[in-house]
Amino acid sequence: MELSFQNVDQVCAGVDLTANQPLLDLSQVTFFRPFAVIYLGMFLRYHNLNGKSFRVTLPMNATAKRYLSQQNFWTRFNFNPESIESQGLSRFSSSTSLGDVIDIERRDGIAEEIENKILAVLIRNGVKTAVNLVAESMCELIDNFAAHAKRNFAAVAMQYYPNLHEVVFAIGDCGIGVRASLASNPKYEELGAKPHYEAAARAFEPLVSCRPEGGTGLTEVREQVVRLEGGLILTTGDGFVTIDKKGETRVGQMAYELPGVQVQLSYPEMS
Amino acid sequence: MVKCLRVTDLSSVCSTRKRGLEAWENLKRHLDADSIEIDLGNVDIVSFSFLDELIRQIVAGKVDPRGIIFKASDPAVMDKLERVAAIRRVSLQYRSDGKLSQIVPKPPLSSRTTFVSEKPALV
Repeated sequence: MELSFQNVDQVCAGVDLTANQPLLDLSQVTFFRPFAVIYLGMFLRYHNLNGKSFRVTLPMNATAKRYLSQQNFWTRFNFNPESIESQGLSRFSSSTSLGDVIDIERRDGIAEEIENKILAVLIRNGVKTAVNLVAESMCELIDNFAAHAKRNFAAVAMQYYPNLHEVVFAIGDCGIGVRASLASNPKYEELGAKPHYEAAARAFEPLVSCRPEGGTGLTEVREQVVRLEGGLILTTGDGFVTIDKKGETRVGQMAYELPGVQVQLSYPEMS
Repeated sequence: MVKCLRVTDLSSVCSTRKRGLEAWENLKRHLDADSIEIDLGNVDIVSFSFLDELIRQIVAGKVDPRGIIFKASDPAVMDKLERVAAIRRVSLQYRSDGKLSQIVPKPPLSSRTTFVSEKPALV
């Protein structure tokens, strides 16, 4: 079973959270799409922040199991990140590859710093797309996390599929989410009572923000995704927004309500 | 008198809204010139948020944006200027190949949003 946007929420919804130590069964997973890695990581992180740790049935598939191990997945996500020593988190370094999961901490200048590092890793791997626009979109999303999430840590997963000619990034946090953020602005207060997907869709409109000066970040990410004929998935609470290469926007409900914002951007390589 | 500046003279990094504000703070020192030409070339990334904040501050600072000329040859940067002009409803000028022109505002993509009961398979 490939774990992706299509089914990761169902896996989370199937976990018995009333159990003392809930069981997360990943035994049938053969492949993790970046979005699923981040969503699952934030699911674990959110509940760990609330004092719950999980038992896990690891994938039987050796490649999937090895991937989680290489990414230090459990050490990183199945603990309260505020209590992890900094060396337990994986930071972007010169050896980071387009297959890694990295932690992002909220601090001044983090977005531009990661933007430069993503740009460097895209160039180093010879990814044939408008690498500066891809890095810029990630910068916007990291800046959004730093400005709005009200959490100290986010995570980024990257994957380059040379045979599929595709590069994929996912970023997630388990912060306050789009709806609560927008509703904190009196102008958009009414969104607090609307479904998560409605608030998320509004956030893509120009100048819609919790702050008077902003509101162009997601608008711009959408522009660049469409320009590069890519795809976007955003989930927040129990809502999702997807944007395809033609700019078609679809919204709907997830099977699980996960706090925060989780986003995947995928870009095809140019022929 | 036209004053020519590289955008990196205003901010060493040209991403994020915060850097756009920094660029505006540095631009203020040059506002005694009749007009200012800002060269947006030779930088890896000049982000939309950066340009939007710089231009928003220029307008908020009651500086006639027609006195600020952007020099850009990268189509992606031009595209961003066109969209900032549309979103902020400002009249901007640019110079390319020595020729001064008005930036034609380009509205953001219109979005038709559809509620779906099942997740789309394409993304």
